[in-house]
Amino acid sequence: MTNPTAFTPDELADRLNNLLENPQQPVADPLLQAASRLINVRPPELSAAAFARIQQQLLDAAAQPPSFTTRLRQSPVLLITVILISIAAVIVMLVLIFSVLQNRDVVLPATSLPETPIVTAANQMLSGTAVPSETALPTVSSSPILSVTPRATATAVLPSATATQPILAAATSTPLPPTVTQLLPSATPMPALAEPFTPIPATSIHASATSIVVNTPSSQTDQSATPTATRTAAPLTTLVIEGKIESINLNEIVIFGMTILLDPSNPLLASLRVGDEVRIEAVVVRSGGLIVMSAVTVQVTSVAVFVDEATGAVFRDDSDCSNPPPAWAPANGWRARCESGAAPGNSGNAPGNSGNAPGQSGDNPSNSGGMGMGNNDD
Amino acid sequence: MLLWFSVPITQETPPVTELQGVIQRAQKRDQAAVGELYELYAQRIYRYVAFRIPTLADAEDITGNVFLKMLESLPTYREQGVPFEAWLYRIAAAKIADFYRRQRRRPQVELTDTLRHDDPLPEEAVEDHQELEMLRAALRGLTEEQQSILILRFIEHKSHQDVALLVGKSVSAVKSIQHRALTELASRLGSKEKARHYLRGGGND
Repeated sequence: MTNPTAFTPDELADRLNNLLENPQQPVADPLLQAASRLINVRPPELSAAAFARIQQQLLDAAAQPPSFTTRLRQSPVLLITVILISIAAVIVMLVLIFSVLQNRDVVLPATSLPETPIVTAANQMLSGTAVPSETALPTVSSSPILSVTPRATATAVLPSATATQPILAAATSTPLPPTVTQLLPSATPMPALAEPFTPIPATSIHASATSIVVNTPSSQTDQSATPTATRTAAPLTTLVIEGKIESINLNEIVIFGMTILLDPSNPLLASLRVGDEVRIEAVVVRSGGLIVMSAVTVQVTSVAVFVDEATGAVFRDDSDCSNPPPAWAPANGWRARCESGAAPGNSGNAPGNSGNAPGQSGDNPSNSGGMGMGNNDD
Repeated sequence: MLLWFSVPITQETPPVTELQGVIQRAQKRDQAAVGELYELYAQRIYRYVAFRIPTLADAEDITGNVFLKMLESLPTYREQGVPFEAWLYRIAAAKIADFYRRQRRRPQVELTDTLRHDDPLPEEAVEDHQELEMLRAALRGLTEEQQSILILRFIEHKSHQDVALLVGKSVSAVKSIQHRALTELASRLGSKEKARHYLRGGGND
């Protein structure tokens, strides 16, 4: 390390001024020596070639019009305009992206689709599902996947109180009872749902029509073996609806404003009445530009309806003595009520009369020996 | 214009009013004015850069970039009591900082300018070149501020007041920095001299 100089900065500055005026003067101080070497060194100079090259580059650049960024910097107004336009563009993009995301949850306006019950039902039910703007279902009758699960104990399975609201439930992993599959008409194969339904307690499945639970099944239905609305139909979800039939139009029934397709060849269709309370397990399929609800199983819960597997005949037990049960259908006490002097059209049931006493074998159509046993009508 | 170029070291800044006119024309991309500014300041900027950058080839490139940046930024230049030259030195300092930043990302082997000369040089020229390289190397060991002040003061022969104006400091601050810078430079030059002396076989004398 060089010995520290005795000069203060000001003294050094003065001596350096002298040195600059007379660069060749001999100096002893190491700081002045260092400064002297700097002053007397031959500094590098830009060579003529390099000088000319850089100059040419500069003049070429000067001949070019200023870049857009340069002009932006020159003009605050232009800069602000560009910033505002950029912000507006970003906002528009965000709005577009947001609306696209929103449209996934918005059904197309009714004007873009023919106003059919299917469209209405789909729009009402799937207010939270995307509907592409494609063509509507060709015809209503070309549709659905249907199967019926008539059960003699239908009225007893679900309490009638649950029919006041649509009851919707997601698919569960519990398999259907064996009786359901046994009763499926062979002409209308049921889609092979991987996750069939089970009734769930009414207290937990009450829901308003606007809060339909839509769950996509984890495994897909085998569409190749199933008649579908169109060739592109694929199940989106499954749900259970329970309520009163508001209207029937051919094979379309409306429950809580939702149109559900039934198989036109389903024998149960003929016995359904407006006002009947039914429990329907339906699959929701995308068919072209539509979302279609197609019934998989139908249970009439307000009255007993029976289907003869062999013939497809249907017996609807309205407790009307003028409508006797056929031989294949369970009587459920009809004979006890109606064959002991009750007039036609008379139900024969007094209030509080269950029709069948405990142990009565009146369900057997061939057995009439139990008449009167425990029947208050007698 | 050519007068300044023909005597690069002794270029004198034209009167302020004349310089302002040139700058205003250059702001409108007047090629002649841009050329004038380049010829006026090219060698000064190059020397400033060359003392702070290891290789002269890089110094040339950086000098070119400084003037291209000058052209690009001229429209926004406003005379605010600071010499135009100070504005150019700031651009040069920024370009030098960019250079070292890039070099930290992509370290390169320093090729001294001595190796660039293939032809044998006269002994005096060799000594001059060695002296220059030694001073450049020693200067690069100082802080950026110290380098700038010593270059402006002893290479460009600026007064304390001019240096203070160019670097944006007070005269007393410039004097203090100059004192510390020369102390550090003398120390570095002494070490190098001693090393060179030993390499020459000077022994312990």
